[in-house]
Amino acid sequence: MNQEAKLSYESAYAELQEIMNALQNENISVDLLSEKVKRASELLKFCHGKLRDTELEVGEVIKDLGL
Amino acid sequence: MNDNLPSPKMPGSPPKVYSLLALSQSIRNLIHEKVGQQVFWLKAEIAQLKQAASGHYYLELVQERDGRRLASMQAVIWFLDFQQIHSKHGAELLKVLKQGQELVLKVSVDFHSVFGLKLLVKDLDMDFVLGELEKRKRLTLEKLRGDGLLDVQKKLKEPTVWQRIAVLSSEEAAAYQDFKEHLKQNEFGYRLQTVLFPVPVQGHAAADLIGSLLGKIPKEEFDLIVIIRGGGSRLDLDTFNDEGLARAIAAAQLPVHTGIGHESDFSVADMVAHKAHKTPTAVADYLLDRMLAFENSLQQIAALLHRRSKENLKFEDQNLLRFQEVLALKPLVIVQRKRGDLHQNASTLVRLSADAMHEAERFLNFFKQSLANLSPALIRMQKDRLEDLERTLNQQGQFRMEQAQRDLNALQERLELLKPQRTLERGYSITRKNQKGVLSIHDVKDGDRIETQVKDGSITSTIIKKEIYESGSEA
Repeated sequence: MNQEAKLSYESAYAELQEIMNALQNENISVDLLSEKVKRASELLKFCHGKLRDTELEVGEVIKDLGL
Repeated sequence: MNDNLPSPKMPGSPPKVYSLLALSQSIRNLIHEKVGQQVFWLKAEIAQLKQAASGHYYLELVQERDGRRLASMQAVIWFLDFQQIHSKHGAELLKVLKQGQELVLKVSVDFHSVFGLKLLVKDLDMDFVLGELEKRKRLTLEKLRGDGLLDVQKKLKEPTVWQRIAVLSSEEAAAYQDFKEHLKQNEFGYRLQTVLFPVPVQGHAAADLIGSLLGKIPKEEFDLIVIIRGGGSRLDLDTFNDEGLARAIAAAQLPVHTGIGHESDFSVADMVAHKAHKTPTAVADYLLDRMLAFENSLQQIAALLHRRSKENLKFEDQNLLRFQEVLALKPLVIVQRKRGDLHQNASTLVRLSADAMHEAERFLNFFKQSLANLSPALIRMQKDRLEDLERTLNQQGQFRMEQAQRDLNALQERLELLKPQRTLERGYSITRKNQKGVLSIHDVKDGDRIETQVKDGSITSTIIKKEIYESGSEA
């Protein structure tokens, strides 16, 4: 949880991309496959959440501008 | 003219003496006769001017060139005439009736017995005054342009919005009130900070005052100086054609905006200023427009910001979606592929091991066959070799046997020399136990039967006692 708290979108995305590349190239060991897939889905969830939060925040900020 | 003057007709007779009145009446008659009620347009400068309690204006008109007076004449505007002129030209009249003003006047000539020669002013040419004003204005502009002062203000940096504004105006002037109200009552609710520096806005003293005040407005405290003056006659507004004022505006460190007079008026001050507005309220409108434009640009930026960030988020979202699709499919694909690989490996294994077995069998068969083919030959070959050996052996055997015999004989002789009998004959004996020589005391024990051979017989004895020498085995 502590680690998740420190996770940034950028780093999560980078890690996700790495896993995706490995998956795409089927360059991933079966031993690690389920672990990696689990991690990737966590990262995906995190990124999605971050995007949604950001969208809401941006909306709020723009609204606050009152323009 | 001389014809009409009274002149002596008879020479020699005593000269006729006229009364002053007669002479002046004669002059008056002469003038009346020649010019009568005729009127002239006359160009002259007012050297002196005063209004009497009666309302009449008394003027001294002069013509000068290079500071030298060429002509001078008294003139008067009777109060009645003044009223007429005033109603024709309005308040302008009072502005041009001043010392130093050059005028084109409609005059008639009058000679009074007591007051002498006077020009009676009946009218004046306002267009001439204004024409002169325009000419002077043009000259001033040319001078300023020559000194490069028309662009100085325009090069000043301007802020995005003007917020702190120093207003130079007459406090009570309607123009200033309009300006203030206009700024205050804007529909957008903008608040501008204005500070009034009250100045007179008419006359040349006003120009000097405004000019010197411009240099004193602290530039850290304001964004902009606004000079405001309501509508007026062109003569009124001539204050703002003053060269000194124009130079002061050019020298000002803050941008100076002008809102002087009406739509059609433009002054030298307008030309020198950072920006000239047609009227005081136009200045207010401009300031508000700037605010509005700035706010609009802020709104646009905000909208752009919103759109861009939305686009960005959407882009990221699509990336994630793509990942999600891959993630949903690819791991299963990988597992299936691996499984396929395994199957393939297994069948390969089966095939390869069958192949290997088959191959091994083939080799074995081959060897077996080879062995079967080759065995008789090999056996024959070995037999031949044995026979060869046997033959060689037989041939050499005889010789070897003889040799051996000879060797044996030689050995026999040497052995003879070593026979124990010889030793026995020298007095030594041999002790045996069970036909074996006893070499050590330890070979026997008490009660053992031993046989001792000497040179000519043997003795059989039983051991009664043993004595062991400590130092060794030699007796």
